Amino acid sequence: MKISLELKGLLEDPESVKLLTTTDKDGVPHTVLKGSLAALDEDFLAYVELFEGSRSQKNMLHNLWFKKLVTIAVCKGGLAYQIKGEPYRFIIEGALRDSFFKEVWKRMPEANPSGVWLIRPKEVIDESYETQLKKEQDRINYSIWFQYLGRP
Amino acid sequence: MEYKFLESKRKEEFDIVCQKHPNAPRSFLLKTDLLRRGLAPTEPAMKRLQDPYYEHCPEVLFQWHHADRTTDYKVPGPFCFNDGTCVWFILSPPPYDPYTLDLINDEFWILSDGEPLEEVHFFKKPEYYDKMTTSGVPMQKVANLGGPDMFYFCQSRHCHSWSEGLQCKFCDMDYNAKHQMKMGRGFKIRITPDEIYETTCEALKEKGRWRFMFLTGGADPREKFERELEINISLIKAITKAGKEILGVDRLPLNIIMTPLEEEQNRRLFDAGISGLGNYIEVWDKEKWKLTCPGKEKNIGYDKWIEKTLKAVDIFGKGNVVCGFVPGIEMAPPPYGFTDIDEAVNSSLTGYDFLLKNGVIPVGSNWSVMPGTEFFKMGATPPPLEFYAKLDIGRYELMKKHEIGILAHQWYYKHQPLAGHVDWLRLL
Repeated sequence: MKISLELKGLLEDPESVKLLTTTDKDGVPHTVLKGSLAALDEDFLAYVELFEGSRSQKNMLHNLWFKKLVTIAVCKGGLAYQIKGEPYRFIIEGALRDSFFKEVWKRMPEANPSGVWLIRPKEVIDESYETQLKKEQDRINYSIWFQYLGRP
Repeated sequence: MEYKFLESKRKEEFDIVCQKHPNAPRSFLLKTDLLRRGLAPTEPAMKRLQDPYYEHCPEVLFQWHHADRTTDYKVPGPFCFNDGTCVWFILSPPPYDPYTLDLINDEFWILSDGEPLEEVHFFKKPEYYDKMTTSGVPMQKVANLGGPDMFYFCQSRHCHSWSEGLQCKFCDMDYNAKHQMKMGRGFKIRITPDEIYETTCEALKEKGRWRFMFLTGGADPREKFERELEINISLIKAITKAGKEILGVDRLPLNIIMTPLEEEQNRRLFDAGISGLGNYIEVWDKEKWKLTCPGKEKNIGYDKWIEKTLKAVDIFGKGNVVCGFVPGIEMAPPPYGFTDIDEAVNSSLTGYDFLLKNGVIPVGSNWSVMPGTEFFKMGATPPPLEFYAKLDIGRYELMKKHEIGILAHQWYYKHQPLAGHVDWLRLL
């Protein structure tokens, strides 16, 4: 599954809202904001994990070990995507770790991040209002049966 | 049925242990088995590893390999899996039925009977590695990469117990020193304060990389360890001075592994800049300890060893004193070890529980049967993988029980490629 240019741009936009949902060993979801989330290239998403002991970190490890997908939601204005992906690698050393950490330290010099997660998208769902609307409108006789009557 | 390592099949044994412990992350068990069975790299993998981008192990302290390394190829020290689990690179001869390191699509992978198990990543060489001290010593011989964000110093590659034939039965320290000299791999037995100061300065210039460092080396019991302590304090002061000059900090995250000392001596270590202390008892069972560590028995004694280790908590604080073991030697050939897995595991867990109750963290590096050691000469082989699975899970349960996982972070998964217990801390 490739990451489109539009999605890449949305992830790079500092005004975008970016959420990550992981699950624990009992399947309980856990959602957090991940400002550092970015598209590394066409194939991988990446974000910095700030804490070794965070629930997200534990869930990500669990999801990696037991091959469970995680979900990322990103939106700004009318644009919105949901990405189902598999945790692929936790980077603890090397150039990529250094470049992500550098960005974190610009904003949070006191931080001691634990590493950089790579996520490989398996499915990208366009959740934009326009796209969803079009899907609805494509249903047979939408204009007859799906209109709220007397809308203001 | 008696376990015979040399007759056991790698894949079969690994699969059985994975099935028995479905909640254990497979990467933890694989790491343990890699340390036990070792690696046999293919020619293309070894050629690729010669790239100067990678760190190559300076081979000080211990050899770790299960056979003498006599090849010209340089070998790395630590590497990691995709989940960040760090493993030490241990070479093994064919009877160990080692795992294969090969390239798949130009990436490094661990394979078992041709089946790719884990993609692995080798670390970049620290920037100070190729620099020299003014005395002409390569800095990599002074400070060695021990993990992605950790380096360590081996201040003395000679343990005085070897002079009397009283070295610990699993230890290859002096043998390794001689072996490396024979192989013409630049070697130095002791390092000086100037060398350690210059090297630390250079290392710390790689800002944002390091989180932890430690000192270790051979023991010198003369004058109640006062000579060794004085030398160590001069080295610690040199390291601390480098931290002050390069980073502007008064203390570095510095640990030392030493023989247990008197309270006043520990205070001097702390004042010089040590924040974490390691007193490595190696094995818990008293009678087996006497047999396995005759030098320690002669110079300190079992009861004193424990008493002093516990007392050190008063100086360094709860969780900052660790007691090291060599997991695996509980199953060394009798009378040094037990033959029954549960008996061996329970013996150590009793010790871990006692230590944790007293604010001391049980740590250590898994046993590697190395050439030059007494156990190697006896024909010893590693214990079953099941032993390690039970021991590490048992220790994890104890850490949970005592709720002090967070305090043990001086030895965390990024700092200990030679044991599995650190990885379990990630689940706490």
